[in-house]
Amino acid sequence: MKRLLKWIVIVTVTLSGLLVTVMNDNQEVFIASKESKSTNGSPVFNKILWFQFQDKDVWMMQQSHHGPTAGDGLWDRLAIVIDKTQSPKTARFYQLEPGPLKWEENLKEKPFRVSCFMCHNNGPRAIRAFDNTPNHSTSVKDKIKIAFWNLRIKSYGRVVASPLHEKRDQLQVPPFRYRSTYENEPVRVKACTRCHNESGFFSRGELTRQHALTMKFLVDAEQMPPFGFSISAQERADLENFLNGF
Amino acid sequence: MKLINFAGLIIVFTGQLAQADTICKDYRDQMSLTVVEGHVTDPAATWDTSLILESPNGVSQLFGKLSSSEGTLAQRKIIEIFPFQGDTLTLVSKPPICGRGSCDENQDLVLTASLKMGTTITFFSCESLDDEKTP
Repeated sequence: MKRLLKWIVIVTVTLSGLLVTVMNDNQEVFIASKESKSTNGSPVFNKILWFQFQDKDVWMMQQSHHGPTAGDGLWDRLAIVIDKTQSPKTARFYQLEPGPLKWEENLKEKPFRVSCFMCHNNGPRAIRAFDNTPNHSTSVKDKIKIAFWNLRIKSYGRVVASPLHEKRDQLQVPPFRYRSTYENEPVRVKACTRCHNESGFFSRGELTRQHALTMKFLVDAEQMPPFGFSISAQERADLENFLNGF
Repeated sequence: MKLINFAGLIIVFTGQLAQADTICKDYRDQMSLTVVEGHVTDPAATWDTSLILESPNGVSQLFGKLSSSEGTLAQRKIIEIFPFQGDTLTLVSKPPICGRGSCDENQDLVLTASLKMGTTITFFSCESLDDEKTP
């Protein structure tokens, strides 16, 4: 018995040590996105790195729509900065000039390539990666890191967009968020609003018509509702109606 | 909601401005729907839309008025149908399925329509045919 306990302790400590090493190696994860597609339907590749500061978390990403080995200038560079001093936390979104995954204040920004809010209603989203594509496989180390990072993202709870985006949307195209009444009509399907509401412990922010593309992807991929939750046939029909714009 | 067999619906917006046509078909391919947008400049007119229903059962004409038009990337127009007792045609345009960076505001939008007559709702898939505007 003593021997068994000894081995359990050794294995646990070793695995914990490996986990801590993986988590703190300051290396990005390199994935093929399960959701994003380029204009010709081919996979989109992301390199993601998390920077932790006392007052903020920075999620920085390079994204290629031109394959995993595209030249440096062909990788978009984006960042989401979570202000941890606010409650609820706020998220500021950046589209940056191409460059390394290295966070600095006052990096040069570019106009958004697409409205961020169409996919990001609650700050950063869970990282969803293909295990294998013809051009790229996600490493075991990256899978472990992604699982841990996704827990970190979940822990933020409700994240609202920085008020700066509302000011800037008056001038920029595409905007951070489309502001018409129609595009901000919220979904009322209970299977969604259980979590996608503005208050409550599990609050993840209302979903609106401008989130239809992301909603459709996640529901069709059976990733929403999440494991343990269900959607009835009537709710599914109502949701389809909503996603079709009616 | 209930899909029914319905006569094809052709909506014609008539007026002094030249028109943007939209052709729609129901999902059973039994009806057709054509929308021509324009304006009637007579302020006394109670309608600005002419609707023609075409189906295996025949053709009939309805009239309507644009009651709301809103949205940016995704848009919705609601046309109330004479005698304005709750019958409506809803036209929706929205971007096709896309991911980050592949959502282009200049891409051809996906057009759909929903015709509500009484308690019956029929859905259509549509295609835009643009004409030049003339003064």
